[in-house]
Amino acid sequence: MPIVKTNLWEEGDVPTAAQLNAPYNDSQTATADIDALNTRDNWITVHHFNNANPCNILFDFVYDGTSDFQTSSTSYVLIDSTGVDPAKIDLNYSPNQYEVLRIEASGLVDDIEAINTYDNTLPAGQRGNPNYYAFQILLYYNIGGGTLTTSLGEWGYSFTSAGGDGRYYTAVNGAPENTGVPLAYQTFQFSTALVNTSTAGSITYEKLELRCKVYDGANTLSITRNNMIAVRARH
Amino acid sequence: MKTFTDKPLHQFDQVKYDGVSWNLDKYLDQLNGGLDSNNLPVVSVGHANLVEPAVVGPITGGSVTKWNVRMPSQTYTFSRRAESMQVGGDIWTPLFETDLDADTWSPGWNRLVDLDINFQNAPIQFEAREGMLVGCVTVDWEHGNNVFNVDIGGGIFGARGRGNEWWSEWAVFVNNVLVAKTGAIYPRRHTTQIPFAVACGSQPITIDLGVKINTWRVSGSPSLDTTSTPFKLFSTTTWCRNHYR
Repeated sequence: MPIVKTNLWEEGDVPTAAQLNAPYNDSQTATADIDALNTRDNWITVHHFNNANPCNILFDFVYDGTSDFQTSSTSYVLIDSTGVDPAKIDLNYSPNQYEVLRIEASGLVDDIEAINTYDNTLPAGQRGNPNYYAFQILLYYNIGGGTLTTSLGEWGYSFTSAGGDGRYYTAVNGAPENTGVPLAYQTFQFSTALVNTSTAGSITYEKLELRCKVYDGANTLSITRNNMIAVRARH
Repeated sequence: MKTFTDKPLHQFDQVKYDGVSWNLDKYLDQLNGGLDSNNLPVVSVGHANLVEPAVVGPITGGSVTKWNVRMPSQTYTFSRRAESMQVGGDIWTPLFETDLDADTWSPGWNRLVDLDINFQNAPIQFEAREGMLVGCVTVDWEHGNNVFNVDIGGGIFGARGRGNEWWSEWAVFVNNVLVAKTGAIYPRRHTTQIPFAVACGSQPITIDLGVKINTWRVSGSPSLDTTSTPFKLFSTTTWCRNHYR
């Protein structure tokens, strides 16, 4: 944006022709290069958008109780700590093109049960996979032909602190334990963002879900607190 | 933008200093961004006056997904490399795996591209506007932990875990300045989130990720049929919001 300077003339001043012409000449140059950026202080504030059409809209899901959601599912299941209030956010809006949806999720894994954390019958490099569990954020959307889903990301953790092909961990004074020590009461957290490349009005975001699964069905993942936040960034 | 002359000059009038200053001040003030005048009160400006978001630069595909969306009040930039988001990929398979006993790595901060060349396009790069950078890095990784038969004294060999003193630490670098780090995280698979917030000028910005690995080449014989102490990386996701001042 342009910044054009001028002089303040006071009584008795005798400006030259060049001084009088300078602001107009500078304006001629500046106005040829005006853009949408206004860096002036306080020319507009969040007050102007603090109504039904804010620049950013916040959605959230919060479960801060102590009930456990337990699963041994090897495919993704929706986290639902109470049985009646699953970890989901209803969006139900149609984004404009290139709008951004930012999602963050977090929670607390508590009293897990790690039975199998190593399998030497698997190919080398995969033998530690039974130690894994994972989370997913799933978006439900509609482009006119019924509800569809797409994964916005998956993120993994391990039941024990062992890792790699040699899946052992020292529990006491270096003595190896076959299954390792379960890492209970550790948090999980991740975030991602999505840009809508479809034209305005051609897609409707319906809801977000926070889901989880384990690699080996003998293990049990247990989750208490879990939260999800979505920010619709419009302008 | 409309401007009106407050103090018009008429024929045969004497030119007064305040008339010259006043008219020019008012005109230039609007040109310089002061739009809260009688004919354009900013109280009337709202959502409908703003332009829609626009993508700056291409949305890349392949192994690294990147985009940069510019809006009137903020810019969002994004970079992701994730095996699970690729066709045929899954959450259990790492993007890459390095053997800390055998491969080349640094005891200092390792950029991911130094570990795996496929990360060369992963750092976020964009032209920021003066304001704040608020963002977050999410990295899904694992530091291996093996047990080895070692001399435990008197020529007696016993199995010992060598991971107790091993750890990894992750950090976010904005224009090569470390702005956020995790502290030591002990061996496990972990998805680590590193939020950061820094002030910035109107300038080029590069946001990169680094990892420091503390381990050593073990001696003795492995308890199992491998000597690897693998360091695995499953995904990295970085987003940054540039909120203009």
